Amino acid sequence: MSPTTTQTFNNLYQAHHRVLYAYLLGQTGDKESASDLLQETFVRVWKHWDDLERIPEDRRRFWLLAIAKNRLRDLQRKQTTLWRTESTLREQLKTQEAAGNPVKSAETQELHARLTEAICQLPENLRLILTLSLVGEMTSADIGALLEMPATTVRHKLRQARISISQTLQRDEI
Amino acid sequence: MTPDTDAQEFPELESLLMAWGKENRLQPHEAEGICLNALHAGNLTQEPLSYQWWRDIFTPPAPLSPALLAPLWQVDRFVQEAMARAFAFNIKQPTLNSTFSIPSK
Repeated sequence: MSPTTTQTFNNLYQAHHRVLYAYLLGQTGDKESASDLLQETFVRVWKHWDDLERIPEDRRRFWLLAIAKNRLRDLQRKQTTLWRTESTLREQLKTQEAAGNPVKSAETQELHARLTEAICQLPENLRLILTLSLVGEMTSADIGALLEMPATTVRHKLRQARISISQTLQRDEI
Repeated sequence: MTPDTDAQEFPELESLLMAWGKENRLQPHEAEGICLNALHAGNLTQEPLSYQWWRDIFTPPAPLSPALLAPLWQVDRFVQEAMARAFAFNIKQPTLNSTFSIPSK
């Protein structure tokens, strides 16, 4: 591969990896699985470079998403339990906080753990949209374009997700 | 960033959610490792090195022992480039020298 191609690959990765990762995280609930799937997606891109060059730039995100969905489907065939009851994310958050920020209070850590659990309990479509918003840093319009639904629907679902999480957290406090 | 959501409706929850989103994003070194590995696999028409390996390399404080590196060190220039980039993230590597020679045991 020429340096130009490598640079184009890098640019493509930089432009889209955050959104694809958020999508995969929203679907799997597992950072490691999402990372692995993101990597497999871009390995596939590399191997189908000729196809990519025929796709207009404004459609490339959809092409990448289709590849990511296929990788996800392969994973789902292998493992039946996604968004495990004992969430991997919850464990990861605990680890990150213990290692990276020891001054955080136990109370904060507990709150984060409960929040993660509340997010895990969301219906799949709400969880995905919320993850795209929070982890993918996407606007409602961008999410709508990606998932082919109106931005107003996205905003409605984001609100539903927040209400549901808020209720779960309040319920847990009782 | 979620500028068009109903943040004002749940102000306390919103700050928690923003923190959650931030913590669950890929860190720059993680994103870099994934990109490099995909490049590596694509160039050599090989299966990628395991993500675990890249994570070990890129996650500070990385336990980069000679035992871990020696078998992988000779793979190709992409591994060496990955190492160079890992160094750029200021990961301390007391067991390696800056010339990227194969570390002695």
